[in-house]
Amino acid sequence: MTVEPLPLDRAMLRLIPNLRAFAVSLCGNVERADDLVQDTLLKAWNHLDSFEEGTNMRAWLFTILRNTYFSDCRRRRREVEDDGSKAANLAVHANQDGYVDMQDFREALNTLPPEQREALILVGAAGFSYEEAGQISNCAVGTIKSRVNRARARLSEMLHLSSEDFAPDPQTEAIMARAGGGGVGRL
Amino acid sequence: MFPKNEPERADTAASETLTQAGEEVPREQRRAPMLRLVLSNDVNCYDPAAAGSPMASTLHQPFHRAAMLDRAQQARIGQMLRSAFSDVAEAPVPDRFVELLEALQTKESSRDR
Repeated sequence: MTVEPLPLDRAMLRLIPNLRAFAVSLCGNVERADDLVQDTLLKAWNHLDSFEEGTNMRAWLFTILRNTYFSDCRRRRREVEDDGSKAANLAVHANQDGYVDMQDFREALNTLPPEQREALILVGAAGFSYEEAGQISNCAVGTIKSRVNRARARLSEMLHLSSEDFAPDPQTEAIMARAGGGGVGRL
Repeated sequence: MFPKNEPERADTAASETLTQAGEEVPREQRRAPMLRLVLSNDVNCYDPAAAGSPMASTLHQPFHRAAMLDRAQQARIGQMLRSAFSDVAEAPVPDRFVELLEALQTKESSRDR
């Protein structure tokens, strides 16, 4: 069975929700994110010849969007430090996480260096492989991995994700009970 | 020189730790291996599967525990990331984008003609 490829405009339309999510996570501001998406769509449309049919259009559009964002950042460096309040407002309806609310999380995400944030979003939220993320960000796989690791480490630090937040699983609990029999306190 | 009874007090576990460290330990830190052993029990890293094996084999267990916590933290962060992402990804597409793509498509087809 062959699947008729979608007309390009339809294909792009279908990817807009994803592009917006990437843009909001990246710049932390919904209005700026929508401007980024608009610029991305225009650039994509004007450079359709650089898109190879049958390849990953999502990755292609993400690449254009992140390139637009980073060249934007370079041009208006002072605006890199968005406060993220608009993105936070947007998240109010989100399902409330038990320990860290989404607003705190978005604020923490926004304080990461943009390259680290980007790598974390691509791999951790948008579902790209390290290899794909490397192609999108135009850097080595190892660089992506180290950015993701540093981003995770900084986030857990900022959000105080410590051992206290994690109840031990039953097996660990049993081991702790046994080892703690001699009156050794839990750390 | 060390007091004569020092090595005996340190016992076999401590000497194994010394061997594991593989280097000369300064005199004032000579008792550190003992402390490390106690600490490794404190963090409840004792592995019942390794019960029959020499204590030295469980000395790396704290790292295992750290890795376990690390995975839990990563899972937590991943969950929040995906949630933040899908909040936006599941929102309706603003009209401006639908109109933009329609306009581009119309321009394209009129150029083709």
